[in-house]
Amino acid sequence: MSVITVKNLQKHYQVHQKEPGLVGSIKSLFHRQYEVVKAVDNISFQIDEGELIGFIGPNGAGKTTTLKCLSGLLYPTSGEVKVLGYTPWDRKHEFQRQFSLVMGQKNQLWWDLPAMETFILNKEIYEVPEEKFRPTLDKLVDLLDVKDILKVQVRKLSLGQRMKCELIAALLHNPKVLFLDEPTIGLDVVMQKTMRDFIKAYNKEFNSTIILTSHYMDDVKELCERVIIIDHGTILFDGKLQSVIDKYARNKIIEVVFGEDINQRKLAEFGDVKEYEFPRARITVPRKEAAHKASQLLKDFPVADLNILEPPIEAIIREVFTGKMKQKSN
Amino acid sequence: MKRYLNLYFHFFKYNLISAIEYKTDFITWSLVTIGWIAFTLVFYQLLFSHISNIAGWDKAQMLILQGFYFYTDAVLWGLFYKNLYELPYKINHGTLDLELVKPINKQFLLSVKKINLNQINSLVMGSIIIIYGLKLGNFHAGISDILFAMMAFTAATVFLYSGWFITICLAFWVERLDNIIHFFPNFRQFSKFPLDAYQGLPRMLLGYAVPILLVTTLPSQFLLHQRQFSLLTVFSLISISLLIFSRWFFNTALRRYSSASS
Repeated sequence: MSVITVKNLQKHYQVHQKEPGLVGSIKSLFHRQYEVVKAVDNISFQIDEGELIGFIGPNGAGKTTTLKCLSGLLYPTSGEVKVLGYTPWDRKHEFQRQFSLVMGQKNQLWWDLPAMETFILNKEIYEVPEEKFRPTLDKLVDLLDVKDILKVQVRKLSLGQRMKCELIAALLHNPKVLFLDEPTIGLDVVMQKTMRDFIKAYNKEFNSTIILTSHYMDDVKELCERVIIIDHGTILFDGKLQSVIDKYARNKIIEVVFGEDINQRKLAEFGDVKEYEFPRARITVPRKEAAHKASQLLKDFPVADLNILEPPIEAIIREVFTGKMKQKSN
Repeated sequence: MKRYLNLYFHFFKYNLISAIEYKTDFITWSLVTIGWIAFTLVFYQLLFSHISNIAGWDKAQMLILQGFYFYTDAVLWGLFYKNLYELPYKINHGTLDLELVKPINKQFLLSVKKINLNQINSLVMGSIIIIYGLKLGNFHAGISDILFAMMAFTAATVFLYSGWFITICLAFWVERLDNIIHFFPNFRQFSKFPLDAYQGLPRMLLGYAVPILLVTTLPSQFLLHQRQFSLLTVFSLISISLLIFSRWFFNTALRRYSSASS
């Protein structure tokens, strides 16, 4: 069953253009020039109950704008959106009780008070009954291991501890839909892993539908089976993460360990030598020729070990965004 | 209603905890408020050493009027200032996001979440000045006088809040409008003098069209046994209409919210 349906969503902004410097400022007093920025340009997708979707794109791609339309913060220029059967920008309280928005760069915790006070306030705002509030809180506190910091003022917490508490504040009402906008931004690798484990566990435990945006590919790789790749407001890809590799990876990597030193110039004839430090070498070769090249390497060189690898997903997606792959797919 | 009262109780409690946490700030603000009130009283003392009345209002009556002016300080700076001061910034920087997704009346949340408790001084000083004015003028305010004065002041509070909130909402249309916060409180300064002090067009405009003068004049008149029931009714209706309009205006303005990128 579709929990989120987006049809031909567009969000355009009129942005004031100004030439640099004082002269430009004075000119703009009398004659303002505007440009229409298509933050989201005619996108459509559906998300089923319990799915955990990765929304990937470079800065300014339209990820956050889409999330803001889905959570009802922005009125779209055109298009239709249904989340849990509601039109988000109607901002109905019944709808708002059923989803949550977590933004890594914005916070809702009361700065001068312990996080527990914000939790209690949210209990009142979301009208969570006491008999549901306590068990949910205990479970979330346990999952995120924050029992010791609940009574510490928020301003005295580390960024990671604050983010954990932000998540609890956002989840106390057991939202059916969760929009996570870069929830791991600025966190160290250990804390990123903790957050990922939590998101995965929460998704399983409550069967909640989650959209996650992140610049960290590890987040997406570990959490999302399906990804939506967006750039310049349009969707470039919507499907399984593995399919991104099948669709866009034009190369494979051959990793070789040589038995003795070899002629590097000869090795370069096989492909793009990315790395060579005896006894190891990494060579990028066209995807279709990988097997053939590997067998030739085995024939022509004293090979001790050889592996054919897929390129890292980060590299593939980077190529998608830099446009090389777009041209190819056209 | 009960839910909103309960929420307000929580806001009050949290602001009290914060005020205690930053007690130096609280004391400094209190001293500034008391100093400002003392300055105003010295000014009146000086003024009435040269004249006997202003448009028929003697020193005792003017003190009562001034007491209600301090009440408006208490209400505007105490209940709404911190919230409305932040609003243009939040609109400009897109930090309204996490408040707009809450299942609660957004205008309520954005208007009363923060309370400036040091303004309790204005309330206390205003009360002292009113009591002193009543004694000085030998006025005897009964329970009904006090009740009607409170009703008039409630209407004044609704009027002031709504007018102020509407002007702040203009920030949704303009990229940067930091100073808009000061417009309405400054406009309120007309009410430092009674309605009778104004004649002709200013009286029509400020007394009846945009009745800012009634904010202090009307409650004072009830304490001074000059009951103006019809004016109270009209003023209450204007205030409620303005409150309803502010709600519509805010909801319309929200469509303009662009939520600056994260």
